[in-house]
Amino acid sequence: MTGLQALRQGLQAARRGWRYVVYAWLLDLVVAALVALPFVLALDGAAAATGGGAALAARFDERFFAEFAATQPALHAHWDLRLALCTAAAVLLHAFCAGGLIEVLARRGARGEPGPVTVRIFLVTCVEHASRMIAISVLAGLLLALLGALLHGLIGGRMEGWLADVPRERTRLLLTLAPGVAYLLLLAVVATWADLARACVVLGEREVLPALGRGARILGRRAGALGVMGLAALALQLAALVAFVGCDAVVPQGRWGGILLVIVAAQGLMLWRHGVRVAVIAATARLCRDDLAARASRPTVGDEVIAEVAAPETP
Amino acid sequence: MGRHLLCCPCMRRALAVALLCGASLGVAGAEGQPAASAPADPAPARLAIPRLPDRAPRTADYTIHVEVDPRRHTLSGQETITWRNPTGAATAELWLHLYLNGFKHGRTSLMRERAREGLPLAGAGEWGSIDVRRLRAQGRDLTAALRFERPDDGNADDETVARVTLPQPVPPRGEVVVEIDFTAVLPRAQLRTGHAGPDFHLVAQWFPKLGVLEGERWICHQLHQTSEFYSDFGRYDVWITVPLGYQVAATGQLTGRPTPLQLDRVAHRFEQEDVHDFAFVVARGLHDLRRTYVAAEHRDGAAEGRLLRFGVPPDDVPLTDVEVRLLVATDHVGQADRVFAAAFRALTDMGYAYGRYPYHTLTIVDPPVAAFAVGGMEYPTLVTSQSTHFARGPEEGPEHTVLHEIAHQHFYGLLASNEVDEAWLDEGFTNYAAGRVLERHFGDIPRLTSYDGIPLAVRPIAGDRRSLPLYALWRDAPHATWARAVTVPFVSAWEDEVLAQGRVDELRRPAWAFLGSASYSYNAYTRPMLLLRTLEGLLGPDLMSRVMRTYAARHRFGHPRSEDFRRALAEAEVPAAVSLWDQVLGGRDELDYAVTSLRSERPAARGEGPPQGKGPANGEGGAGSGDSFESEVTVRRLGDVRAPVEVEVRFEGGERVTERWDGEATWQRFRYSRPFRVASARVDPRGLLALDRMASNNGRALVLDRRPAARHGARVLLWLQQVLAFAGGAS
Repeated sequence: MTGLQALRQGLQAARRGWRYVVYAWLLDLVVAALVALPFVLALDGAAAATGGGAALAARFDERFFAEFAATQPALHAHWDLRLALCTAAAVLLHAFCAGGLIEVLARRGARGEPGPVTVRIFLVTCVEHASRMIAISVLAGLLLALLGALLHGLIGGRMEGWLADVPRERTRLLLTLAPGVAYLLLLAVVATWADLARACVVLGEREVLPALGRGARILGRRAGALGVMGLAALALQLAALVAFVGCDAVVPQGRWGGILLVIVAAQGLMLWRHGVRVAVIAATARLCRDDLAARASRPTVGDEVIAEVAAPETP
Repeated sequence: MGRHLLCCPCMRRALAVALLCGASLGVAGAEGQPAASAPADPAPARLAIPRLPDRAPRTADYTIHVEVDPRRHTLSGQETITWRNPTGAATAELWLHLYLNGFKHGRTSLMRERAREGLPLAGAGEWGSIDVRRLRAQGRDLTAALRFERPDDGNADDETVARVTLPQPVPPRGEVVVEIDFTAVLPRAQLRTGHAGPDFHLVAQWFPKLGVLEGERWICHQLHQTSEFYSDFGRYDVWITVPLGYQVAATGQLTGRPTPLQLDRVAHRFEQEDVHDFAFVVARGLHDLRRTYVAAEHRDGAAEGRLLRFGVPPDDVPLTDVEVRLLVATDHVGQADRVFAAAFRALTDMGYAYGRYPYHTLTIVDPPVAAFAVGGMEYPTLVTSQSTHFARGPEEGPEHTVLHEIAHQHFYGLLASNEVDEAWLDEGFTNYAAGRVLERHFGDIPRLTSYDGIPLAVRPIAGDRRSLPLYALWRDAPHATWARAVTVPFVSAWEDEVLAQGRVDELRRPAWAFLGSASYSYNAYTRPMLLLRTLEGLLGPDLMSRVMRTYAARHRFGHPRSEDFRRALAEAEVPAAVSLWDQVLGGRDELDYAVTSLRSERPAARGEGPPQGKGPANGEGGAGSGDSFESEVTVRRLGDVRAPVEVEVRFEGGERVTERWDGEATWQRFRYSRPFRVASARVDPRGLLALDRMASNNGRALVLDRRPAARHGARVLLWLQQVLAFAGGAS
């Protein structure tokens, strides 16, 4: 199975399991809303009575927001900490849901089980795999932190000296961007590895470390397909982003109609983003299952054959 | 009313008082202290714009022969200074600046201040210095008599000022000739001078330069992180020897053709009269572009008519041609047209506003990226620009810097104020002058920054670079979603600074004596610019133009002080403006007016009758009638600075009332009885009080408007959702 085929199947699975896309979107929305709410209330308190509502809504008035920030010190106290906690919560919630998603999108679909998967079944499978999924997320997070620290240690602080004698500005800019790009690539690799490991946990390996090992082997063997799949998913995300930006740029937002339209477009963008993410999870699991099935067909790996993954795939 | 009625100052004052009374009468229901004065816009009075002087006093003439070694970044020079004592007292001392010693090691005052600010110091091989090898005057070798002085901070490790005692005092208007041999090493490009490898050298503050004798005291400050320069006018004749193949651009005019010397060296001679400093650039590989500013092609009939109306001598009205030279790095050569366009705009608008640019040449150097640190600096007839490769939009990039530095040709170059003791007199006026031209011809300026750590745009990586591929996508991506179309009026571009640095320091103090660079920046650049804007709001544009022109003409080729501008301002006969000036210059107080409350009720609803003794606010009746609303608008002065202010009150029926309040009391309440409720009130609706610290409290509406919170709250929500979705997918 190629990367594009896997992604197409993942998108079909996401469409069939649309309710899980909605759950993921709602989950993020609720967490984000909890963090954003104090800000929105404070902003309303500061802006609603100024008499310049239309202008403030129509464009970003930097002066107003600078003054708003200055007069609301409590609002942005410990912002970094709050964002970090919020992010950690998101990571845990996504990890918690990952087991259920793979179960309902990849494994049950593969077994051709009839009837809709109920929320209860979804939650049960989430709980069943939760500890291992969270463990993989934590390990991936630690690895990313370690890689970031290494990259920073190798490059951070030295970059200015290296760039001092680079005569061309364009070259300097590209070199400045290089560490960031490198880290994003590392992040993509680690995230894919974590997705594969989670799929392996659900599809057969039960334990975290063997699943990580198997995930790494699949990552090595199917790097091309996974890369193509990742790029295609990124293109889908960017396409939606461009559509949103276009909408945002065109719609006048000094009126309620425009504001609501952009809010709807923004949440549509997020729904799409979660849909693509769910599709990537399903596609990764299918690639993983495909790989395991191929290995299972070899006589030398009999001990590793998993009954479920060896089953024929149903459309 | 015809203009002839306003020719008499007392008539204008009477008219102003009458207008004020009328305004007060119109607000019969006003509480608080009675209005005493208000913004007035009288026609010119005692302001008499003098002729522009043709020449500067020749106080300090310099003849210098200097040889530059670009590979070692060294200078070797012989200098002859002819100094004429401009004071009425004899002096037996000469004080000299040795600025490059500020880069000598990490213990100089400059480097200590940089370290305190967390700024990088020089690395190995990047330090600079200057060494006086020989000093002769009055027939004696005085090298051994040279003593380092630390007049500002007593730092024994600082060697940026030296004093020599002469064998014979120099009498008033007497003359002394000083011969100095010196060697110098240029630092790595930083803080207005230095090199960026063998291919670029901005050679500035490079020679032993005399301080300024005022009365019996030499003004000769050490080099500091935030301070600039102060010196006397004179004639500079400088021979610059460089290896073959190097480009040289400098203050003044190139005299003759470069002279080939032995050992593949070439000597360039530059001369310029009526300047007070000399800087030059030695570089390779820069594009050398030249265009002529033809004054006749840039004539502005309206501006000339206004000047004649102001009483400017007709001979002083026309501008003159200027040879403009641009040395630009390859990265920015595509911006050459923009640089020339900005320079021509500056020569035109500022020439009309503050007097024509009197020199024949203007050199603009746009340094390569490795020398970015020396960009944005002014020297007589030579300025450095500062831009980025990606700055291609019409309202960003080199224009702001070019306008700013050319404005310095007036406020620093021609009005050579003491940049150390009164930094605001050059930077603040320059900021004001450049901002006016920028607004007129280039619009708002882009403002891409962050809010509480939320990245609003790509500045940390790419700066204000709108032509980056997919820039709009970056800019508008949900993680940066607030940054869409963020441009701000020039006048409010420094709001963060205003909010953070208000009340930290007095505006008028030595440049090195501010709490830090941020406070210096606020008090030297931003606050005086806002003060001048506010004065313009109080005086009106025409009168302000007259004040500025009077000040600029009166002190051209001089050393003006704050009092000199105050004198010109006082001649405009607008007491509120002078009062504002005194308040802002004299302290740290801030200006802030706010509409703090708005009420509109039917009397029956409160169970009260109409307010007794207040009467109808507008004489339209309705007070006491059951159909009318009793409305109150309360305006408060939250800052200590007082200025006349307008208050605009809008009613639901569409009526609009503009009140004038002298702003002296701490609050003022306006009462109305109208058939309609008050819809909103706004203090300073025309934005005349640029010094107003908080604009967000200037307005208040009776009906709450949730749209801003909905729109921007939804964007914050989206941004957070993106972060969470990203984090959830990444690990």
